[in-house]
Amino acid sequence: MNLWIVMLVVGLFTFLTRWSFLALLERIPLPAAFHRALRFVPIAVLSAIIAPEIGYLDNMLFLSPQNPRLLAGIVATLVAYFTKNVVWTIVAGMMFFWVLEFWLSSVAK
Amino acid sequence: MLAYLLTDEAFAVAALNYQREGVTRFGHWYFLGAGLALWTSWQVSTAVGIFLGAQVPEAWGLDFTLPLTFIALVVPALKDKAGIVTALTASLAALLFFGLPYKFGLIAAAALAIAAGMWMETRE
Repeated sequence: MNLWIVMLVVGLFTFLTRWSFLALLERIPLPAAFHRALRFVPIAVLSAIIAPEIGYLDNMLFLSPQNPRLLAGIVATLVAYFTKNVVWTIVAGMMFFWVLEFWLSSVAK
Repeated sequence: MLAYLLTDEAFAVAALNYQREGVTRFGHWYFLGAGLALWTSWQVSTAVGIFLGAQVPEAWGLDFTLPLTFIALVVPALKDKAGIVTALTASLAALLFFGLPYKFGLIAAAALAIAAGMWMETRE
């Protein structure tokens, strides 16, 4: 029972943090620079999430050809660039990642 | 209601659509559609995850699909130098700031990258 109350309250809070911005921004006019900046927000935030995901392994910086996530990430970037297709990018990235993992682990030992 | 449906992926898909189409009368419907589709599949996959999740070995590395999905969304959005500069700055800065607590590195990297993108835009 207690768990349900916690879930409801936390849900309400995360909802309010998102809704408050939308509700406020409708009423307050914003400077032009702000609108110019908005275009870069998705690119900046997503890139900042991606880079550590593929560049770090177990909380250690791991920028080398030995890092399957990094290589598969680069392959996925190329696939995304040429196909512009989400499904192909994920499938190709995942396949390449598995092949690399398998290959690296069999070479290392 | 749209706010309730605002998730990372819904934001990514909707924001990129606004960029493609401009802010139109129907843009909100696109957001609503994307949000509802994501919300539904999220609920279903959470249920599936609860029952099957423990049985999928971690060695499969399925968590790697997260960065892959984001790559698939970001790369087609890079249409000019300013966008590319933003992505590169964000990536580099996020790697450098990784150690900062409470995801502050993510916010700092994004802010820096947005500034870099705007700067590049004025130069073009």
